[in-house]
Amino acid sequence: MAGQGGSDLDALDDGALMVLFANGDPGAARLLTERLLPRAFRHAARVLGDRAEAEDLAQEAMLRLWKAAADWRADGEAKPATWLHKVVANLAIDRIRRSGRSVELGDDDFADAAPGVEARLQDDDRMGALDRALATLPERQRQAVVLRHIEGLSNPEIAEALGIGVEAVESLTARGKRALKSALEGQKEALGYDT
Amino acid sequence: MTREHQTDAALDALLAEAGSDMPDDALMARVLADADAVQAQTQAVAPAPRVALRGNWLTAMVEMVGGWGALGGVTAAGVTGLAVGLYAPDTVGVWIGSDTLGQEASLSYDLSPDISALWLEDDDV
Repeated sequence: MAGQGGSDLDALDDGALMVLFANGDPGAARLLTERLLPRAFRHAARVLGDRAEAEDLAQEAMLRLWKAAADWRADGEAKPATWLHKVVANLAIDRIRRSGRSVELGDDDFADAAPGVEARLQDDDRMGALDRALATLPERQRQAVVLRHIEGLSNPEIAEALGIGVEAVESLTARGKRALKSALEGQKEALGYDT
Repeated sequence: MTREHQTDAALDALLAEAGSDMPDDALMARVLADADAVQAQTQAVAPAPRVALRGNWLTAMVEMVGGWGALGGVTAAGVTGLAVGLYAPDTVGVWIGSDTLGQEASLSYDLSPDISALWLEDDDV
């Protein structure tokens, strides 16, 4: 089936593009990829702290999105972007736990971990420094910070993606950002300023 | 600006920078290849599309029997059958009167309707 013109598709939301994709429109596949793959990749990269592994995970999440298209309802409540972040979050947690590198810190344990992290941050580039700082946060706190402060999701969207309440999201994002700032405190090169 | 504010601003800038981190083209190509494969698989198992009854009723009827070409074939077959029905019985008498069936010539029947009266007027053409 021939795809619709790009300008026609650009006006459609992601849910409508999912239905078009299920009907065989290749233009819908390209546009959904351009809109959603960067989100999935960034989410995975910041949570896993490994670019190659994040690429694999993002591809797996997008494959699940394609397979879900046949049953997608354009007038349903679910947004493809939120659905995709949920898949990425679950896949990332699975990988972290399988690899045994989960550091399930309590929210109050971060201060003790920060000094060691600070020492490792000295020679890293900016994204590397951010990833290492994020890695010191507990899993859910890390995911909430990434979705709120990097991907710009609303608190209800984050709640849906992580399967938790909105109040929990507010708490996680607030504490997460404080912890992140603490981890990066004094990292002049990473933060790009001199004092 | 205090160090506290500097840290806040720098962290916000770092997070914004992380928000513009993009996957490379190779990953984009792999994801699109997956999409193509899923679409091909989905289309392969999808039921055949029903004939859409669009346009006027005549067009719809023609589409239901396979289009104008198929309809022409059906029409030709019908006309041929009608012609055979009207004129071929002449040959039956020939066969009956011949030795083929071993019958007397007197058993010959004229099965063709005599329609010459339709165009004769006072026994003139």
